[in-house]
Amino acid sequence: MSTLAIDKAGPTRKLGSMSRDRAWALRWSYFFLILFAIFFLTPPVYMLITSLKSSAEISAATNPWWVFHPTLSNYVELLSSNQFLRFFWNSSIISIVVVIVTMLISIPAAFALARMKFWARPRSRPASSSPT
Amino acid sequence: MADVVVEQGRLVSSARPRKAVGLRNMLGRKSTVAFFLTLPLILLIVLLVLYPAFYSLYLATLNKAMTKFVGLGNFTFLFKRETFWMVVKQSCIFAITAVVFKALIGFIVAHFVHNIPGKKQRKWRGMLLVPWVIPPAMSTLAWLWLFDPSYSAFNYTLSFFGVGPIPWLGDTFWARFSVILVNVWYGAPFFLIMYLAALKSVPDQLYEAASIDGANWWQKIWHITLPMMRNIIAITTLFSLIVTFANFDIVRILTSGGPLDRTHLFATWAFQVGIQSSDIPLGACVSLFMVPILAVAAVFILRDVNKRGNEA
Repeated sequence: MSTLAIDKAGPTRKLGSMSRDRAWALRWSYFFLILFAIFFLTPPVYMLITSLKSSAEISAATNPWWVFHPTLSNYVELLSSNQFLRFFWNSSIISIVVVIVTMLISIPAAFALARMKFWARPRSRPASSSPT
Repeated sequence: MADVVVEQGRLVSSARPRKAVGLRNMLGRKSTVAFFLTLPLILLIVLLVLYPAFYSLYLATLNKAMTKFVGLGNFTFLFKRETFWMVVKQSCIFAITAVVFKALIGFIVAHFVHNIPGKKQRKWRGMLLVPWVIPPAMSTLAWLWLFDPSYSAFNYTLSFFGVGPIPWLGDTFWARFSVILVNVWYGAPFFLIMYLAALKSVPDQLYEAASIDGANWWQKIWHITLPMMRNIIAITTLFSLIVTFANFDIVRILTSGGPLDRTHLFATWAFQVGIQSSDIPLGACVSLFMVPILAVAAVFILRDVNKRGNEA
């Protein structure tokens, strides 16, 4: 209430009130950003927490949001299983080959579509494709 | 015809012996070279997009054993099934609600991120983009675990507030709610990043001019931000509508159709009918229904963008 009155009273105060407004806007921004970050990060964090639990702790009805006896046994088991390493290898091979093949196909096409002339578009003639 | 004229003009200007010119023109025309450079892409699209599309058109006209041509028999059969109309309704509810909430959340969060000073923006942006980076099949498994009937972490938290255990994936309403929630969670960061880029491209002078004219924040949003972001909003919405409408993995993993088919979408139902009950023609038929609906949406949303040219 009083700030409003001061606002209208003198134009010299205007600058101060604006920066104060901005500070409040910033505070509210952080508040809501934290809320949204919690919403966005809950599943991955929960996944991480659960990955540190043993099966016994999962089936015991304790607080699911916290791990009381953290263990790395799940990770050890995964990384020492041949099957999982095989899957890991498959994923790497697939992603590498996919990227290479995509590049090989799309780079020439992108260059041709952007920089060269086609029968279908006779009017656009970039400098690089002008006949010598 | 036009090509010939152009070549004759060049022939006159270059004034070289005839044979060499013919060869040079072949190479120099570049259209051929350009065509060969795009050939792999064209082949890829023909093989992996056009051929399957027409093959599914063909499949949709066969009978269940895929031995006889039945014309539109599959379609008339679908129209008589109640489940089909339920799936149509559910797909529309799912896609529209999810896209609206994604757009709203994206818009609001983009404003908040835009508000805070530049150095910290990158950290927040990275944090808020996490859902979009995780493969949806993986993150949906985490959600499935959060919704789990006996170990549900949500129900555990809610029990402190005296809210009874909610059957997240067992009840019709809550199952639809959960599926949409997960989809919003997965898709909102995409809107966030698009809208943030759009916000940054709006010139500051417009806002300064508006505040000199005494506009409040709502007028600034309505008369400056929204018109400036219009094209990006339209394109993002269309893109997300298509992806959401064709969503498969989230529904498949969370409910796989849900209590009594109440969360089936076109894609999951087509999978169920076509692959699991091995009636491939009918499944192809179901999946073909996505085409006209999405085409209508594309026309409505992109009509305006084309009219306004390349402002964005």
